[in-house]
Amino acid sequence: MTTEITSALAKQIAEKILKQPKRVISPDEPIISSGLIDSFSLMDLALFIEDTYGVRIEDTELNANTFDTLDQLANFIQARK
Amino acid sequence: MNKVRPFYVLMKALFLYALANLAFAYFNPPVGKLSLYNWLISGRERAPYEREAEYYNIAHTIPVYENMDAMYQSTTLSQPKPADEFRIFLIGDSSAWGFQLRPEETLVGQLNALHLKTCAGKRIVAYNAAFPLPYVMKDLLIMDKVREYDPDLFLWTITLDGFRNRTIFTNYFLDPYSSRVRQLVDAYQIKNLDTSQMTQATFWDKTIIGQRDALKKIFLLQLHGLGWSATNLDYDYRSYPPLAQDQSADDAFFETPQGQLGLADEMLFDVLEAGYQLADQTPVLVINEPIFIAAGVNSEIRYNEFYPRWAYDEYLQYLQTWMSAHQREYLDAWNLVPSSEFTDTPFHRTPKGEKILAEYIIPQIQKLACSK
Amino acid sequence: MTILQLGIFALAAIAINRLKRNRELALLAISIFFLFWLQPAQQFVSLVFWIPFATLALIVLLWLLIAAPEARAWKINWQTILVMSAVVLLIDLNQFFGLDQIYMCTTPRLWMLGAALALVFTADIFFWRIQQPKLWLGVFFIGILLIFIYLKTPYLVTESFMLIYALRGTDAPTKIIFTWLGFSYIAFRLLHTIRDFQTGRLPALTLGEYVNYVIFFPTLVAGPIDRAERFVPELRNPVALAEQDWAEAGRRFFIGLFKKFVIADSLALISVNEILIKQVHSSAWLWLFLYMYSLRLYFDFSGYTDVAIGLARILGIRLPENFSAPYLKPNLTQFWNAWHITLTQWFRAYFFNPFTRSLRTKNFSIPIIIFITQLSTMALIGLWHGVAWNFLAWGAWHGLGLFIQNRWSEWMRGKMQTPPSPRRKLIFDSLGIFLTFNFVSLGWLFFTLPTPQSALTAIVKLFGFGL
Repeated sequence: MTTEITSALAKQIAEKILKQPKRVISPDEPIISSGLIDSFSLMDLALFIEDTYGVRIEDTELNANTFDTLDQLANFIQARK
Repeated sequence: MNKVRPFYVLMKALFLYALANLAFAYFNPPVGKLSLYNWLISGRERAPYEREAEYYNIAHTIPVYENMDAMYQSTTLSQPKPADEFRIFLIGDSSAWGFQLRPEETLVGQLNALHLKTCAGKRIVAYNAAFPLPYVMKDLLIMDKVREYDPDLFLWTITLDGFRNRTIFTNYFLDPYSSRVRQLVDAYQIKNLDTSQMTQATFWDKTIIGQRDALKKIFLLQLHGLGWSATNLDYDYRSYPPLAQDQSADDAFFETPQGQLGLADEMLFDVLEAGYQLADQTPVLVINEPIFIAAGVNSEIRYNEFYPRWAYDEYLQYLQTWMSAHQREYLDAWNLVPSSEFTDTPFHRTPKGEKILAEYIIPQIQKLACSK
Repeated sequence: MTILQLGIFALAAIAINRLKRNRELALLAISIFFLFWLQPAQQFVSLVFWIPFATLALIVLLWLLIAAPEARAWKINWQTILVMSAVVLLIDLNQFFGLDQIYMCTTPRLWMLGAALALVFTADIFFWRIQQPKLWLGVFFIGILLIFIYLKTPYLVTESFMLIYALRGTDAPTKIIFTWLGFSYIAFRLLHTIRDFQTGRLPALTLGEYVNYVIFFPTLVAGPIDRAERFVPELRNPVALAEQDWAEAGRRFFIGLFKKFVIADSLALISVNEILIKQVHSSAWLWLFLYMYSLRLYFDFSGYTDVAIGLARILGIRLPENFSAPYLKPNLTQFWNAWHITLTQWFRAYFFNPFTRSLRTKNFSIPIIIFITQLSTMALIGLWHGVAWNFLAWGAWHGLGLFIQNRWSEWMRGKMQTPPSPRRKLIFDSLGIFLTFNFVSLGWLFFTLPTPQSALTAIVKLFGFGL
C-alpha cells in the first residue's frame, strides 16, 4: 500500500510540480529540506492528497518536521486514513 | 568515536588554560608586535587616538601605552627602513600629532610633501611618533621606545605646559611602564618626578588573565584598522569656535600665582637633557612650539588662555639660559605663527600654520642631515 | 544578555537538572524570576515590575480560555498558582530585603501588588466561568496582536509616552525607552496556542505547563519559538542526560558563547553601518563590511540559539533548530528554510499556508497566487522585526526575490528535463550560493539601515557610484 502511495506521489510531483515527467524521486529522498519542492508546491501537494486520499494535512503540519520523504508522507497518510 | 567525558574535558581545559597563563607570564611574548597593519591593511600615519569608535581608533581615555608595541606597530614608522631613507621621527603633543588636521596637513605631512633630500641624496621622510598628551616624560618614554625603528633625527616640539610635573599623568598614563620609567629616572637623574605612586607589575599582572584588557585592546586596534583603511579617517573633525582675542584679567598660570613658577625646582627640564642623552648619536632638534598670541582685551596680561605673559616670558628666558648652559641647540618658534593660523586651542595650528613652521625648520633639518 | 547572565542561566539549568522532584515547579519559579530580572530599565521605574507582571497575567488569563477541562482542576494547578504568587511576592519584597545587586529595590508597595493580584484573581474567576471562549479568544488574539504592533511601532510608543508626560505636566525625555522583554516571542507562542485551540489541535495543558512553555527561560530573549505540543511532552518526561548528552549540551552552550561574544561582537566593529557608508572611499571595502555584517548577524543570532538549545538540553528539552547553514544554500527558498526557521515556519503555518489554500481554491492564476502570498508573507516577517519602512522594504526584497526565483526555476525546469550531471550541479550550486549570499547581504542593508533611502544609497555606492 505504501509503495502505491509513494509512486503516485512521485508521479504527481514529477509531472505536475517539477514538470519533469522523467524525474525519478526515490521514496527516501528528502523533498522539503532539499528545496526540491517549495512552500507553494507543498500546498499544492497537500490539496492533491486531500482530493485523492481524503486525508487532511493541517497547515501547521506542512513542514519538514512532519515529513520530509515520500515514505514518511505515505506513512502519515496511512495513519490518518 | 571515542566517548567524551565532559568532566575530564573541563578539567583538561582548565589545566591547559592555567598552563598557558603561566607560560605567557613567564615568557612575556611580544604580542603587540603582531599586527595586521603595514601588511594586510595600510599603516596609520599617526598613533591611534580618538574618542569615538566611529573614527576607527580606540578610546583615548584608555592608556594606549599599555602596549606601545601595538601602538607603533600600527603606524607606518614601524616599516623597515629602505637604504636610501633618512628617517625623522616627530615627538610631541596634540599639536604635533595634528588635532583638527588631516595627516597630510600636519607638520610631518607638510615636510614630506616637499620631498627633501639630504646632501648624500637620501630621501628625507618624516614620521609622526607624537601622542596627544602634553607631558615631556611621556615624550621621553616614546623616544626610548621608537629608537628601535631606526630614526636618523628626532624632532621634538615642546612647550611650557609639557614641563609641568603632573603626577596624574605619571600614575595613569605611564604606569604600565613603571619599571622603565624608574630606570630612566635613575639613569638620567631626573629630579622633580615622583614615581613613588607608580605600581609595580606583579607576576600575575603578566598572565593572560592579568593582561586581558591590554590583549583585547590590541585585538580591537587590528579590527579598527579595517575601518581606517576603508575611510582614511582617524580623527573626528568636530567644529569648534574660533579662539578669542580677548583674555581674562586673571594672571595665574593654572593655579600658580606670579613668582612661583618653579621652573628649576618643580618642573621637568631634566627630561630634556635625558632626551638628548638617550638619543645618543641620533641628533635631536628641539623646537619650542608656536603659541597663539592674543591681541584683544587683557592681551597685555595674557598671551592666551593657557599662558599669562609673566609665566611664559619667564619660561622663554629660562629655556634660552638652560640651552646655552647645556650647550644644546634648539629652535624657538614661539611667536612664528600669526594668531589667525590657530584652530581650537592656543597650540593647534591650521595647515598654513604648519607650513610656516615646516619652512622655518627645514634649513636646520638639512644642516643636521648633512652633518650626520 | 551578558556572559554573566548566561552563566547564571547555565547554573540554574544544572541545578534544576539535579532535582529529583518538583522540577517543573522549580523551572517555573526560575523562569518567572528571570522574566523579572532581565526586564530592562524603563523611564517609569515601576514598569520594570509591572511589564513582567502583565506578561504573567496575560498568560494565566489566556490559559483559562484554552485549557482542556481535564487540565483545569484545582488539584493539579494549585501548586503552580502558589509558586507563581510566591515568586512575584518575593520579588516585590525586595523593597525590604534591599538586594539591589540582584533586582531593583523600588518595587511597588505591597498594597499595590495586593490590589493587582486581587484584580487578576477576579478576572480569573470571570474567565473561569466562561463556557464559550470563542469571542474572548478573538479578543485576546487581536489584543495581543495590537500590543505587538504597538511595541514594534516607534511612532506609537513615542507619541503615547509624550501624551502621558503631557498629562502629568512633566518634561518628556528626548528618547523614549519602552521595551517589553521577550514579547516578540511570547506573543507568537500565545497566538499559536490560540489558533491551535481554535482548530482543536492544542493538547491539554496544565497552568504550569503552559506558563513554562511560554516563558521557558533559555528562549526568553531570542527564541526559538517552539510548539506547545512538542515542548510539553518533554517537559513532562525530560529526556535523560547520558554523559554524551552533557558533552553535547556543553559543547552547544560554549560554541554559542564563542559565536556571540567573540566572533559576532568582533565582527560588529567591522560591519556596515550608516556612518561608515558616508565615510568609505571604495566599494571593495564596502562589500567587505557588508559581508562582515551578514556574518555578524548570523553568528550573533545563531550563537544565542546555540546557547538556548544547550541550556534546554540540560533541562531535558530538545528545542527546535533555528539555523541550518543558511549562507551555504544555493537558492533563496532554501535560505528561508534555514534562517530563523521557527519564525518562518510559524508564518508558513499560520499565514502562508491558509492564505495559499484559500487562494488556490479560488480561480487565480498560479503566478499571481505565488506573487501575492510570497510578498505578503515576507512583508509580514519584515514587519515582525519592527513596524518601519526599512523592515517592510527588507521583506519586500525577499518576497520579490522568492517570486523571481520561483519563476526562474519553473522556467529552468521546463528547459532541463533530466537532472544535471554532478559536475554541472556543482557549478550551478556554487553559483547559486554566491548569488543567494549576495542577494541576502544586499537585503540586510534594508534591515540594518534606518530608511530604505539610505539602503539604496549604500547599494549605489557598492556598485561604484557616488563615492
